[in-house]
Amino acid sequence: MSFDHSLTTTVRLKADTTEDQVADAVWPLAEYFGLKRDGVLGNHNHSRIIFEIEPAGEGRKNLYIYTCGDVTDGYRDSIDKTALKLAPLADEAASLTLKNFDTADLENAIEHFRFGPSEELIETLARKEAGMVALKSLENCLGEAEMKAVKAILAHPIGDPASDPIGNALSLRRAAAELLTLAQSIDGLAPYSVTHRHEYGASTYLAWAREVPNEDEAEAILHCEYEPDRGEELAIGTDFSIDELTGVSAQFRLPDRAQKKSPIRSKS
Amino acid sequence: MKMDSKYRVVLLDRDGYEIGERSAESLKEASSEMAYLLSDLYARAGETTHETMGTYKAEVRNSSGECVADQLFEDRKPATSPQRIK
Repeated sequence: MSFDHSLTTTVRLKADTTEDQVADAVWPLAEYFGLKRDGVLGNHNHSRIIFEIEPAGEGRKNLYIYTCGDVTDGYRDSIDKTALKLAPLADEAASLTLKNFDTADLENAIEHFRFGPSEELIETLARKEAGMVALKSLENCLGEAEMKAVKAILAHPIGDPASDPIGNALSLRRAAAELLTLAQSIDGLAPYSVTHRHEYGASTYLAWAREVPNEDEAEAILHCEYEPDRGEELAIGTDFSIDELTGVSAQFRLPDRAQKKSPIRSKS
Repeated sequence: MKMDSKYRVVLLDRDGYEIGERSAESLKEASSEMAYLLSDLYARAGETTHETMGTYKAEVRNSSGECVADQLFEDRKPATSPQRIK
């Protein structure tokens, strides 16, 4: 039985992927539509499949695939074959999304044929897509700010912490940075540093305020008395950004900085 | 069919009635869908022609129902340049 469909994907390719490899991967779809090798793609009045390789910055390339029109259930076999051939070319997990526009069964109107360079990345993508589906159902019962908060967390998927502790923790830190930025958009509070210089040295505090605190306001957060008569000073600054506070900024992550340093020379 | 998608692509006749509909998750996909809805291939799939359907234009609408892109039937063009598969 045939049905009106669309099939799409956008996938980032590995840098060394050739056009021939892409053509070979797309071939099972093209063949389904009766194209012969050396046939012309890209014009709906002549064929029902288009694919484009687009630059994605930093020497990267994205592959966009789109097919449309009436197909039979057997088309899924062609999609499976293309997904299998795209897997080794993909730099990240992606899915060929098949939409059936003729079914009344909305639960199964959209199918995802996932592929990617590793099983773990494919599973992470599947979890993210399932999360987005759950998110849509939450839209009816959560407020706008709550939805933004949930989306901030889902935007940074977390894989198996044991396999990549730093990368997965960084995802959580990025979500935390987004949540703090969201909080700031609601209450206007930004982080400021307050440094109290006294006869024993200096103590630095973190203050959250809507604008740069004045001396009186800054004094309120000190753990000890502020005595300007004895030569003490208060310095108020914008030294901390949310990225720094949450550990997102690589510049302030000691393990990242250590990696950038030149190899350690051994003593002879 | 109604799909909970980011964009709705609709085909309109001269009186503004919706005579075709697709869904899309990105503007690029929406652009491809718009080109398909305006193509002869789409009309032939329904065993009709755009002349019979009275096709006037296609619109891409966001989740708020605002039109973010459109194309007149008389100005229709393929979504991409033709490409040769080797």
